[in-house]
Amino acid sequence: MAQKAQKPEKEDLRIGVYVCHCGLNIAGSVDCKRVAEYAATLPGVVIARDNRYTCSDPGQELIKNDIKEFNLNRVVIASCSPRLHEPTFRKTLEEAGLNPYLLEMANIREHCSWVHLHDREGATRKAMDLVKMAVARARYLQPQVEPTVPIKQAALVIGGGVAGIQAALDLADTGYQVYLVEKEPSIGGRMAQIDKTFPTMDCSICILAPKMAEAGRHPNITLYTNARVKEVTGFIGNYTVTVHQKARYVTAECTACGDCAKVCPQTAPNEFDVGLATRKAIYIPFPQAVPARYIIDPDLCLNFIHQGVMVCEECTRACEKKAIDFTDQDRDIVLEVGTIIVATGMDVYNPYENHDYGYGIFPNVITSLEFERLINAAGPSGGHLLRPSDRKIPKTVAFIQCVGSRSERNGAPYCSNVCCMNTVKDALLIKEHWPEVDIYVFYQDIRAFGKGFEALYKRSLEEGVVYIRGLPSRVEETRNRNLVIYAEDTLLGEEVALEADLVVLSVGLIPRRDRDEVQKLVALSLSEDGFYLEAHPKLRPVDTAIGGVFLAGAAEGPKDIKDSVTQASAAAARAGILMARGEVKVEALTPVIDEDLCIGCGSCARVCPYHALAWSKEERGVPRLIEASCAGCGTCSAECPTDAITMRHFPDASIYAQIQALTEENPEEKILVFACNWCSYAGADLAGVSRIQYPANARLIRTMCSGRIDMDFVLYALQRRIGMVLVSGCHLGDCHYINANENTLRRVKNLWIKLERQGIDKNRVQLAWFSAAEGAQFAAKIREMAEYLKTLSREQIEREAERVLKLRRRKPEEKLLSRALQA
Amino acid sequence: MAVRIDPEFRRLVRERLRDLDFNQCYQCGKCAASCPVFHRSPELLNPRKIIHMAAIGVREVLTQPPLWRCTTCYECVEQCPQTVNFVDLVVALRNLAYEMGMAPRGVQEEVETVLKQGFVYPLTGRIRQVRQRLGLPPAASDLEGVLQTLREVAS
Repeated sequence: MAQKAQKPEKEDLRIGVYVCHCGLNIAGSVDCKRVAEYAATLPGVVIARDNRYTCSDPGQELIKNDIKEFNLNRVVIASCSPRLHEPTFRKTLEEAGLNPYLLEMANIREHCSWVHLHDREGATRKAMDLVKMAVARARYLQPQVEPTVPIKQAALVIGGGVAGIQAALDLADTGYQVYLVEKEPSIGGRMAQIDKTFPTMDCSICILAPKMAEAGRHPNITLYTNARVKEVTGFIGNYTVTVHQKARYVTAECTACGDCAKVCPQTAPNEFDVGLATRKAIYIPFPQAVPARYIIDPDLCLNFIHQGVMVCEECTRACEKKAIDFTDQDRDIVLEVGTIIVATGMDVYNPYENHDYGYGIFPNVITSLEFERLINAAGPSGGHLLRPSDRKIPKTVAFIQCVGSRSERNGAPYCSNVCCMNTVKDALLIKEHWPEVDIYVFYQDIRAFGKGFEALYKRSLEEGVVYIRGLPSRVEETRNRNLVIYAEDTLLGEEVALEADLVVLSVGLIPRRDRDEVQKLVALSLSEDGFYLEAHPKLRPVDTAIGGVFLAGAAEGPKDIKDSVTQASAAAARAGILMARGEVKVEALTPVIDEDLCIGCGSCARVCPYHALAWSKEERGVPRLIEASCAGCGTCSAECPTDAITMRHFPDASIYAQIQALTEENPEEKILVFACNWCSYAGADLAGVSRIQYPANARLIRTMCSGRIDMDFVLYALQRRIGMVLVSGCHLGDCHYINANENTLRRVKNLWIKLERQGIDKNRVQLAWFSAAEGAQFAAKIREMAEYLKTLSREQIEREAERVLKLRRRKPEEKLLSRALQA
Repeated sequence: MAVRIDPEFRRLVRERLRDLDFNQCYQCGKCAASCPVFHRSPELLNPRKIIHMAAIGVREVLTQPPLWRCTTCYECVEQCPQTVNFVDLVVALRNLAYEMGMAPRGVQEEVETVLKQGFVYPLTGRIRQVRQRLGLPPAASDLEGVLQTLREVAS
């Protein structure tokens, strides 16, 4: 391919500007007419209009007609976030015969009208600035051709709980190859541990086991149990996955007869029974396990404890099938897949750490998960609800709700979604077996919102289950190991005390403790509650921000079985749609290297997180771009000392033009914010959606990654007398371009040193990380910076602008001039 | 002092009131909102609290003066979304309180008076005079007959 930078063609710019009212969403706090009238005065603008709904059919028709009638070659739409409607309007341009990359959007809703609801003048002025910046940037936009990449016809499902199983089965039935990876020795997940399901009171394992077996024998599903995903590389449709499978030490010859476990001398708590029972060093997690194959726990087996010296051969002797193989090795499997479904589930809050209600001190205080195993016929007590202290059936059982849920102190602040109905179900299970047992439920709200839930709740009332509104403050143990529970009955307004034989803590659901492991594999975002973040809470609930990666089940948030299965089928359908198409267009964001300017230093190749720039130390030549590996973050472009690298859709010139436009009027009063597309820009969008108000003097410039931000952009802004600059990106470790934002950190730190040396107040340039869920934090940062800005005098800004000159390599005007001369 | 929740008492109440499914109460408070006594003053009677105390098993429900302040107007029964019959519950709780010797003294005396004389009010000389003037027979001439009628009504 040509290694020449695209020079802006000398063409007559004909820009159309459309200012959207979005009903009253924008027009409520922005004078859209005034903004449109202002836009009409900007250079290159041939038509500027305001209309009620630009995204509506008539709105789009209007743009298409204008493109033809006025011969427009750039379109600027001032409306909502480009994260919402950029694809819509790109299509509009395409339908009118214009290249979709000639569109620029000004976000005057999420970043303006919604966050300045009570400052009409400030919001209107900001909208005018944002439109001016967009028009300035539009001048440097070039037509781009999106590369088409093929999609591999296989899917990876991470997690073999009910959601992962359902997603795998749906995709396999559609005809795709599916790799199902489960870290435990068997698939089944949480659902396999539960006794009955609400609201139908179906036996959990009875309805799950057939699905597990089907997944185990499906010709299109390859199961990897006792395995974890180690590495994921690639991009939408083309992921290379490394799975690390631990040795099982038992071959497929195993018939699960159990003769080995009978003779094994080593025992340990059984994880499946949450430690309430024991297992051997060679064991099967539960009778219905898939694969139905024993496994040796190397941390427990004597032969491994003695580091390979064979001290015990009991199992080997007992096994008729000779299925035990102590030479088995861990192995790495490399898979090529087009799509990934993350169905890693959740963890259960552990009340041990805080000893909530005496858990871990009083033997008769147990958790709801322990209860499930105790009431289960296959559980350690054979389905007899025996209280731990004396193994007697309790006469009075108290449930305490919201343990680790809806708490700012212990566990999580959100509602865990399933515990109310789980307790109703548990209470009915007790009543079914032992109707004479008195059951009390201490709650703050009973949330029985789903289909059939209220009926089940009513049934529990009919059966005599008692609900007491009020969470207990303390539990005391009596001499006979009963428990006295003290609470305020908020319906009576009295303190009440109840003596119970057994207390069940209804524990909440929390994000998996090892969730970072999978999060880092594909750079998933986290929502505020710590679960994986969906692309859109309403309209793209199973997509992630990463192309070809989908979510299913409780990995996305606390969920019951039905919702997990529903979401799993949805994720399978979404992945299937992508694979059925066979190919996908990827955004044209890759860089172009100007051979004349490149000095062959290799800085770009060193910072590229994807090793997409081939460069050798020996040759010191112009790096060669590996197009398929490049993700378009722009870190190389920011690093290049000679500005030889131009990002196709985010060229330096467009960003300088935006800064220039925003600093033309009263720059001392403004805050320039650089935001990355994935996290901080999305966080700013969330501040808008949540209507969190902040001062109207901040102006955002979006780049794909904070690694794109050349520190000269910041210096140029300071030279142009901007008040404050905020550089923002994803949290370190959450970067969507592996670790490109670490370059941002390094560059800003260096810049601070340089600023200090020149006697420039370094606090005028700030760095902050925001996740897509941190709208409130974004707004707070802007408020904080606006306060600081008030302490700066015009003289200081003026003085420091002079000093900045010394730090700049070249003025952009010169740079642009030299470019033009070369052309 | 914490009010003790007493599963035994709860069981007793449920046994006595088997046909009365007051456990269906959602504690919405519509009964209280429609109660004329509550309207006069919430301290006098709150039907919701009486139902709740009976439902969870608080023995003190029987010694509470509010139990005796219900006028049995049935407005709450008309309004209850869960079809809880508060009036029947109140009557049943009053009977239970009497049996257990937990009814207020005035109530106990009244019952004794009826059993002794066939009347709620004691027969004063003034009442005797009025009865004579109206040509009525002297009171309790047929005490057995009156008590028989009462028993029939009660059963």
